[in-house]
Amino acid sequence: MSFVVAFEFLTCLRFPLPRRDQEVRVGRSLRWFPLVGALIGCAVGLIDSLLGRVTTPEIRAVLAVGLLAAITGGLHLDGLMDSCDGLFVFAPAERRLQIMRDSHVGSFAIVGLVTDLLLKYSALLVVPEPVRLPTFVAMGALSRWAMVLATVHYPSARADGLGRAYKSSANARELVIATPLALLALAPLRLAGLGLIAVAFAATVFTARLVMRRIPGLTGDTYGAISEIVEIAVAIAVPPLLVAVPMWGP
Amino acid sequence: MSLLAACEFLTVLPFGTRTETTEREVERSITWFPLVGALLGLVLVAVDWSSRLVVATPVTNALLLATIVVCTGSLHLDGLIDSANGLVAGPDRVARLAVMHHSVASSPGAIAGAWVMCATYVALGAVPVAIRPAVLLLMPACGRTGILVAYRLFPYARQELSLSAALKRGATTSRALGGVGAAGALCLLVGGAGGLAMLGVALLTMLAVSGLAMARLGGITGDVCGATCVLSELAVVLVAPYMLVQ
Repeated sequence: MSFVVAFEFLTCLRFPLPRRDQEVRVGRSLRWFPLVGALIGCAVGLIDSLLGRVTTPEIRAVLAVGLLAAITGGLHLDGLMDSCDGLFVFAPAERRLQIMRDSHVGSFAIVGLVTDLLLKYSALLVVPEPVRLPTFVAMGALSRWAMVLATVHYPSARADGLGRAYKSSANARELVIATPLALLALAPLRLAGLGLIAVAFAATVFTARLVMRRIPGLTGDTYGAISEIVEIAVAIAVPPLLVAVPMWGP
Repeated sequence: MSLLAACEFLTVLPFGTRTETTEREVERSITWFPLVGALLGLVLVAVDWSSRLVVATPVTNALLLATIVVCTGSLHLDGLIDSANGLVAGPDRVARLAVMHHSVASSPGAIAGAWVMCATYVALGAVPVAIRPAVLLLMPACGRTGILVAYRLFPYARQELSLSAALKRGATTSRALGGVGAAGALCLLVGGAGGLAMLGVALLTMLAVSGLAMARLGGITGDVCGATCVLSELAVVLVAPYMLVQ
């Protein structure tokens, strides 16, 4: 049941199940995040493979960026945009948190969004053919695993909100279950996958520390921002990892 | 110390101990803008060189854009977005200036911001490898020289006291000449006559943007200066392949 909760939260798809109104402890669904991410990556990767037969690398890359945003309903990009508005502005922590909750789009959100999309586009443009599908799977799995790591390991900046609901009903067990799931999704990349999880870990810690210099903890929006940044870092890291140690790759 | 004030205003890079900046220092800092641009250019050259060792050029180009955004705290792009929001608003100058102070972006700002970033990304992709270091070094210097000249040449549109107003007061003829002279020398040294021509293109872009601001606002603002900076940077990258000897 908690898998359905994770799937319906992370994608804009819905299972045709009878709706139950009972309270769900959303934090329990965190354990399935890497699996849902891998499924999202797999779906986009398969479409990308089909497109490879008929179109140019540029069009493949730009469509993949669009599909990744569309399947998630723009959930993580929205988090990134709100985070940029709140974290780039000069203001005390409480004001930053207010701005992040404000649904209006400011100029920092636009700049953050376009930077994100350009980085993702250029990274996907140069991922070589034989590892494209595994790369999409790794991007999906590790970016969502990063959210589990961030939720479990860092304090929450708010007393309420969706991010807080996840934080307060999650414990270390979610990470213990989520990490092997993420490693499973990395299996096609063999040892290069270990390099990628190290990249994802470093990007998560780096981003979380930057955020916590400005506000006293993480929020749902910053979980989304972390997911976007890790997704990009993984995509950028794949080609150099495969070149650096060729026998690591598949 | 006014150089430090310029660095702190134009970038978010850590520059040692943050002391209280006096208004005199802010006024004087304007003359250093081209030099701070050149320092930012050095950062870009370093990022470009190290990044291309590891990843492909398209990824490096996107990373360079991200570097500019992060190092400047998105200051100038923010100015462009606010300016675009304000310049097309109506019905009069007072209303437009009020819109520019608003922190919420509307469609014109989103369009301008997204377009400039995509255009800069594409333009960087068209720069031949041999002249990349020269272009990356001169681009931010030319953009910030434009800001200095704009503050000298055009009246300030707002009444209230602000950092930007202090920069306007500080933009004397001698400081402007000093800054432009230094920028010109750098362009000549790095790019020869073509480098000087790139500075010329940046200043022409600045004149066009400031002219538009004069017509719509009756003067320039800090946001308008940010807009001149990013648009001149784009213009410089666009023309560089035709101006620099490879």
